[in-house]
Parts: sequence; C-alpha cells; structure tokens
Amino acid sequence: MVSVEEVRHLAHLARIGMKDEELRLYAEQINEIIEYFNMLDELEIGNDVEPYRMSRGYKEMRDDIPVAFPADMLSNAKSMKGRFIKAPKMG
Amino acid sequence: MMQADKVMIGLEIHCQLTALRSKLFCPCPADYRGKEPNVNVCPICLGMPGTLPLLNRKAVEYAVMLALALNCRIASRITFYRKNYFYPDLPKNFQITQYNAYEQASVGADGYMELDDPKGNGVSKVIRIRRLQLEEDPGRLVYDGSIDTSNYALVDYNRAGVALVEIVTEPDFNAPNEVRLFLNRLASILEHLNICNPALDGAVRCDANVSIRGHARVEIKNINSFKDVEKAITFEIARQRSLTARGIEVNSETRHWDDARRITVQARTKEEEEDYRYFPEPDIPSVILSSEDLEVIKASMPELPHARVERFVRAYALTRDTARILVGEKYLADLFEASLKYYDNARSIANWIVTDLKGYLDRYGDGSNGSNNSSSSSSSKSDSNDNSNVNTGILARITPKHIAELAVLVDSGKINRTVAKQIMQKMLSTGMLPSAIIQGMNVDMLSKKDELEGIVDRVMDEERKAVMDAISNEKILNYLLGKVMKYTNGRADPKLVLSMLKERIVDLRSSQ
Amino acid sequence: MVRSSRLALNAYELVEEVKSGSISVEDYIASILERIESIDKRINAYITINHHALDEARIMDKMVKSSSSNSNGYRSTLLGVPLAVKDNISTEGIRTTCSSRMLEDYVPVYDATVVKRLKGAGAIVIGKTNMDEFGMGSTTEFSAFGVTHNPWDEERVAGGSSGGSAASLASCMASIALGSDTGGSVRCPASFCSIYGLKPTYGLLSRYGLISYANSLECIGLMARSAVDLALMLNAVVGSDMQNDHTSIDSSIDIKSINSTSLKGMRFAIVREIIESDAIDEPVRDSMLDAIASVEQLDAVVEEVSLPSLRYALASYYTIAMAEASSNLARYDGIRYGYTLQPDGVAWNEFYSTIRSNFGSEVKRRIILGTYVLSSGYYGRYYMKAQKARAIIRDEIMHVLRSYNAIITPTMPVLPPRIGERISDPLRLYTIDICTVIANLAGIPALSIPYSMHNGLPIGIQFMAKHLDEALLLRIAYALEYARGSRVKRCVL
Ligand SMILES: [Mg+2]
Ligand SMILES: [Zn+2]
Repeated sequence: MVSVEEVRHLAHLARIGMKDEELRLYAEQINEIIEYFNMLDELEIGNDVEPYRMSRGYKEMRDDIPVAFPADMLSNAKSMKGRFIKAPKMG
Repeated sequence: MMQADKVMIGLEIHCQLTALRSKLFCPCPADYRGKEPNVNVCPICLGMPGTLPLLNRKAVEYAVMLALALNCRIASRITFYRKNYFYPDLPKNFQITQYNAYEQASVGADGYMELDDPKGNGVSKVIRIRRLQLEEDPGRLVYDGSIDTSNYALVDYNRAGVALVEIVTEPDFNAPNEVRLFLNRLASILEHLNICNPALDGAVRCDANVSIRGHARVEIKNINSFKDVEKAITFEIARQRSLTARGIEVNSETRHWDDARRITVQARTKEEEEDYRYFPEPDIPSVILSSEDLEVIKASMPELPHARVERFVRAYALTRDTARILVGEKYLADLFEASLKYYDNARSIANWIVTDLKGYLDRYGDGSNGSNNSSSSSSSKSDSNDNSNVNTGILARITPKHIAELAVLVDSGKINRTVAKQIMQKMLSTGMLPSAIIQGMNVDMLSKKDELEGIVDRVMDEERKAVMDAISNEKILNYLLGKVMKYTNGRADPKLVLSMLKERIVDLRSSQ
Repeated sequence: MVRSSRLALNAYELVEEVKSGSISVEDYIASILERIESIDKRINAYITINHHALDEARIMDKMVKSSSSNSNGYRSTLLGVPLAVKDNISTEGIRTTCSSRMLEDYVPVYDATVVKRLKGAGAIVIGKTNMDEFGMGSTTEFSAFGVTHNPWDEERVAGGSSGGSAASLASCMASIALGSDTGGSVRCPASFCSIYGLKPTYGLLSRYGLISYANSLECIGLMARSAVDLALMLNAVVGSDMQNDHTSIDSSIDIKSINSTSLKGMRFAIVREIIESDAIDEPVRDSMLDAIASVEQLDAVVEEVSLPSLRYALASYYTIAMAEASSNLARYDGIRYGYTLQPDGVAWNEFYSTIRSNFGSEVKRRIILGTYVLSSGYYGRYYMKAQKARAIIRDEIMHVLRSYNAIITPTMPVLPPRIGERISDPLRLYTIDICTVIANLAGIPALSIPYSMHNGLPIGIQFMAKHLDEALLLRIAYALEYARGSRVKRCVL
C-alpha cells in the first residue's frame, strides 16, 4: 500500500504541487493501479531473459562537425535579462 | 607521539573533452568560452519538446582512449542512463549519463593508475579507478551581484551538453601529495591523448571525499582547478583531525571549497537525500564496439606518457628522472624533441629545458593570463573571462630554435653558462633568438690569453691579501676568479683564467 | 468554392484533379476552412488553425501552372492535400500545445521531420488537432481544450489520444492526418471514427519533432480514408533522418504491389486469449468473426494461436510508458518555454511545484506512478520486470509471425463509449488498450481497418505484421476495401 505521505513524497520528487484532497484521491487510484502492476510479480523471469533494448554499431553515430542552429532559440522564454534566461534562485 | 589515524581520500573528476568541436548530443559548437550567453544552443541542448539526442562518435572514441590509458575494462554495451533531478541549469531536468548498478554500462570500469615513487624509480602506489563514464555538462548559473543579494538566478545554456568524462577512483589515497601526483599524471595523459586541455578554465573539476578511518566521510565539492585540490584536502584533513583530537565527531556532510578564503565551508543548503530514478535512456541505442573497432581506436592512440618516458630513456640516454620531468608537462617534452631537430645533443637540450626553462617557469610562472581563474558563480561579469586557447605567455614565444641555439652557443665554447643565463632571461622576456641577442651585446667569450693578462694582473694587484692566502690555500683561487669574471661582465673563459691565476701563484710560491 | 461532396475525395483522387487543373488548391483549402468554421464548434477536432494555409495553397496553384507549362509535370504526390497534424507534432511557427496548459503558447522553432517531408510532397497543414494531454488517454477527454466529439455520434468520444485527427478525417475537415501511437493512439480513434490508422514499425519514421510521452514505444502514425492514401503518405515520410538515431531504415512501398483483390497464399492468426476474453463486447466479436470470414473468402487461411504472456501486456506497457513519461515531462518547468511565473523572489521548489500543478489530472497520475516505479528499491520490481516481460511478449509475437503473415484482432474491444462514461475509473480505461499495446511492445506495424457499423457506430479490425511489412498490411486493407465496397462509410458529410 502506498500511503498518502508516500504520494506526497512522490509529488515532491516530481515537483507537482498537490492539495491534501488531491493526494488522498491519487493515493486511492494509484494503489489500485499498482495492485494491477503487481501481477508482474507472478512472472518467473530468470536472469537469462535480457530486458528489451536497442543497440547499434560504432560507426552509426554522428560525426563531430559543429553546426550552429539558425533560429533564435530564446523566442519562447518569457523572463529574460539581456541574453540570460531568468530562473528561480536555488536554496 | 601518537600515530595519526589513517586518512582515506577518493576523487571524482570531471574532464571536458575540449578537443571536441561539437557537443555530446547535438551539433552545437562546443567552444563556449568567452561567448555571449545562450548563443551556442539549439532545440536539442535546450531540451525543447520533441528533440532527440544525437550521440557524437568522437566523444565515445575519446572516452574509450582515456579508459584504455587508465587500464579500464571497456563495456561490451556502452549504455546511457537518465539521472533525474530538478535544477535550472539542467534543460531536461535529467542528465544523460551512465550508471553501473545493473551491468557495466559506463565506457570504462575497474582500471588503475600507477603512481611513481617521487624518490626512487619504482611504482610507489596503485590507485584503483572504479569507473569512467561519458555524460553531459549542465549549463551555468550566475547571479546579479551575489547569490545572497539577488532574488533570482540567470542561466546560460552555452555549456549545457558539452561532453564530460567523469572518473571516479576508489578511496585509495592516503595523503594529499598522492592526489597531486595522480592529478599531474592524469593531466599529462589528457594532454598526450590530446582530448582535454586541463589549463582551460573549468575544463577539469574535482570533488573529493575525505575521511579519517573510523569516522564519517565528508564530500568536498566545487574544486575548480587541479592546483587547489591538494590545498582543499590538506585543509579538510587538518579540520577533521582537530575535531577528532578534541573528541568531536566529524559530520557526514557536503562542504564546498572556498578558493578565495582557502578553506572548506559547509554547503549552503543541506542537500536532501536525492532519489535519481536512474533508467536506461530510451532514445540512445547502446553502442556495441567490435574487437576491430577497439583495435582501430587503440592504433590511433597517441603515445602515452609512460611509454614516452621509457623511449626518452632508451633513445636519448636520459635519466628516468629527467625523462619524467619532461613528459610530466607535455609541452616540455614536445619542445625537447623538436629542439633535437636543430641540435642533436639530447642531454644538453634536456638540461636547458629541465633545469633552466622549467626552473624559471616554476619560479615566475608563464606570465600568460586566463588559466585557473575560477569564478564560477560570483557575478555575471565573470563571464567575459578570456578563456581562449591561445597562450600569451613565455611559452608562446619560445621555439625549439631558441633552445637549440642557446645550447649550441655554450657547447661550442662561444659563451659560458653565466652569459648564457643572461641571454636566456632576455630571450624569455623578448622572444628574440639567442643569435640575435648576442649581436647586440658584447658577450663573446674572452678566451685569448692576451685579452685577459691586464685584468688578471689588475686583480692580483688589488687583492694582495687574498693572493698571499692563495699561496697556501688553492681554494682562494675561486675568489680571485670571481673578481676577474666581475671585471669582464662574465665574459672571460673561466678555465683559462683559472690556469692563468694558477701560473702566477706557482711563480710567487717558487720565488718565496 | 468546390461542391461539398468533393470534400470526401480521397487524397489520391484530389491530387489527380489538382494536377489536371479541374480543382484549384486555393478553392479546395478555402472550402475545407469553411467547413471547419461551420462544424468544428460541435466536433472540436482542431485546437489551432494554420492561418497561412490559404497563402500556401495559392503558391501551390502557381507551381502547378508553371510546371504544366514546362513538360516535366509536377511530381509532388500529395499536391494540395489538406493535412491535419496532431498537436504533439512540432510545426515551425504554429503553436503546438499537446493539449496542455503547460504548452498553451509554445511555438516550435522547427518542423518535425515527418511534417517537413509531407509539406515537401505538397501537403498543406490545415491545423493542429485535439488529443489527450501529452497523448495520455484513449478518448480525447483529457484535453485542456475540451473533448473531441465523434462525428458518427456526437454524444460519444472519438477515441484517443489522436481523437482530433481521426474526427477531422471522418467529418471531412482534412483529407489525411498525422497522429501518434504509443499504445494504440492512432488505431483506437481510427477504429472509433471509421478511418484507417497505421502504426508503422518502430524506427521506420523519424520521431524528431514528436513530443515525447514514452520514447521506446511511440511512433508517428498515419491516418487516411483509403489504403492508397496511406501508401502515398508512407512513401512521402519514410527514409533515414539525421535527426533521429533510431531511424536508419530506408524502405518505401511499391504502390502497384498493394493493388490486389485477392489474399491468396496468406496465413493469418487469431489469438485464442483475445477471442475468448469476456472483455470483448458482442458486436465487436461478431464483427471480427465476420472479418475472418471475409478474408477466408479472399482465399486467406486463418488459424488460431495462443499468446500466453498477453496477460502481462498491459502491466508491462503501462509500467514502461509511465516511467518514461515521468522523466520526459520533467522538462516542463516554466523556464525556457511554456506556462510560467515570474521567478523573482520565488523559492525554486515552490516555483516548480506551482507551475507543474497545471498538468491535467491524468498526466499527474501517470507522472506520480512513473516516479513510483522508478524510485529507489522499485526499479527491479517494476521497470526492469516490465522490460523483461516485454521481451517475452515480443518473442511470442515473433514466433507467431514466423508462421503467419499477420495477426487479426479487433482494434478496440468496445464500441465508442459515451462522453464521460469511463474517465472516472482510470484502470478500467487502461484495459481497453489490450489489443493495441501488443504492437508497441513488439515494435511491429499494425493497421486498423474500418470494417463495419453497429447501430451507426464504427468497428475497426486490426492487422499486425512483422517488422517492416507495412506493404502487406496495405495490401490487406486494399483487398478488404475492394471487397466491402460501399458497405463501409469512411466519413460523415
Ligand atoms: Mg557526473
Ligand atoms: Zn545544441
């Protein structure tokens, strides 16, 4: 069971502000879904099963050639100071 | 006295692959130093929606070279992971890096570096390398005024996405000087592989963990130059020793190196226990290096410092000590080999470089600007530091020809070492060739008897007391020689003068 | 203006008329825009209309005229075709919201590769279509811009998450459309709206410009009202792309090869666990049995197989999708683009948490779940296990596809639900993806074909083939389209 407090911690890790009643509702729904995911526990999977993933050879990568991007990249930033983008202060 | 408790130190070093021209996952130019904020950016390195990382093959190649140079095992599948955490300098709010919890994903692992015994010829210590991984640099935060007075941060993403190699050692160091030896050797390897210029501001950053056996471990972050690492660790050991001596427990904490005050200080905010939620980066297929690929990379690797030392000993009959000093700083070794093309006398050239040139540089520095001016987050103005790769100091002025000419002038007997040192001073400050300097000054050696008779006679007259002493004590001759040299501005051939003085003393003795 | 019946033309027919000069692109696009103006208030397929569409149409007309005067003719295979683009596919200069408040005013500085290629073939972007926020949903009800209504029954959902794209085709507000498919998001609305929806082989189409939800599963998908239109679209967008490391496949389709009315020599598999599942509604089961009879009549062989690990497909799929999503969506922090606050004097955690509370409820739920399955101590139990389960399911599918040309299932186990009927129960909503997630887990191509109607509601049948066998799927579609003739309507006019 995932407690409301654990959901609060998850919401903090994901930086999503949530009110108490939201946390309670999510805790309920999330438990139901996690219960469903727990069916994966039934699967007896040995170490010989490789998790699914893609791979490629050494040559199939980008060459080290610099290319400047042509467009103005700051057109979507709303808080600027000169060419700096403003952000909240840490701490 | 009580035996001091054993100190254990581990390092985590980030080296930018400054030889790369583009970033790790996008084609933006990687050279961000001295640029206007947010000009080297594109949708990929700004984490714009819908973009995908495009891995730079050369970055993988360089990381593999370094891993081989550090005797690491190379991963059979080089895999990238996401490290998830929120920070304004991190455009995607995750860093693409590598992670070895489930398998060896990182380019290299389980390597080692041998440290030479500074006194002897053998290996004094082996430092184990836990892992070597490729990852992206975050952007840079700066503040209007200072971090304390500003109520927002300013972000420059030019650095975001620049390729870093992270090297993590086991806690195998027991003293700060071992750390220095390790870092010097690492710098030399980086320079020889020509993948990172450690002299560039912020190109190499180091974190250290320091503990006294049986006590808590302290992380020191933010050490922005190799030079400061030894100082920071020395300070931290003293701080921890003084705590334990007074019976106070060391706190397990993160501290920062304050390079202005030369102390470590507790981190401003208590860094919370992070849960990075690592998982394999789904947008970057694992890289599989075939054995042929590895052979090609190995074959393309430049000569490593260790091999170069051995070659210098073998081919040029240098002492291992001299060879190590030369190779320890790649430009000295390069200067040495290039000078040999003009004058094929290895010992003489090596002597000028190791004793005279390096001695001068160690005392007065190179005189160039830009290196090790770490000022990471003090003010937005710090951004315009001259970080260009061009050396403006002495080293930019001294060519192999300079060294070769100087050595030839002395070895051919044209000038003596005293004059040669004067010439070197002038050569270092002006960049003029020794042959040109000589023309402008009266430096040719006085090596004919008749040129010197008058001066020797004059000294004999002025220094009667010393002359009388010299009859019974030959050592006094050196004093008289010094006087002659002084009157000739060092131009006299000392051997000749000494024999002339001896002749006269012998005459006096026999006439007594 | 063109007659309204002509808005139902297939793209390949329209291109012929444009090239012959009997329809001007400007007239056609103007008529499409007019239709949107008059009916989209009810359907809500579009979030943003491209205000340059008419200008672009005029340029096309000029190109047609100048090229007919020289002998080459104009090669563009989609000349003048109105294209609807799902709003999670980047369009340079046109706002791209993902149906989220977080991106309500975000304007990309680049075109997705697929958009660029379709434009290059002559297609004209009409607008950006509604969807479940960031693709998370199967009904297009989770949108910050309101629900999309099913043109066949406006009380019902259009399916999702590419609901706007499907509805725009079914109501003649575009001729072809782009969607994206992570677990069925192209095929589900295609089925509910009676059009074709193709999820290509993973890696066949560039994902550059597709705003990530679950990277290892998702593809850009193609939607159209005829099999030939799908083939034209596919040929216009395939090919390796320097912007996407996963796309290194160059493979186009010989249109003549799909043009066969027989399925002789083909072997199809039906899956026992799906046929016997009580999650399949009766009308859907009936339709599938009818489809089996149809392909047998066209001389294909149909046999039953078993996929024992199918039981784990949804848990595996949702675990992987949510984990990847929780990380992909971390970048929406209000600093470089999107919804924001003034940062002055705001503490950083509060800044992030406040801004990110503007995600919709389903997105929040999936981010929290994704954060949970990746958090320390749980990785091995959930994410790693899910990827291993995925590998097992993939192997089972590949095994079947070694003996059979395709697997037949219903696309959706249910008829289009009424609006509001299912959203309050997330888990129940997830289960309707059971037939579609298989193809995403295995990376294989899958096509939903409009097959029949039940009480005026569309039912689609899904065919899945081996990697890169898109041509086979289109051939099946063509044969069924020919055989079923006018019994299957593909748009409401
Ligand atoms: Mg690191
Ligand atoms: Zn970039």
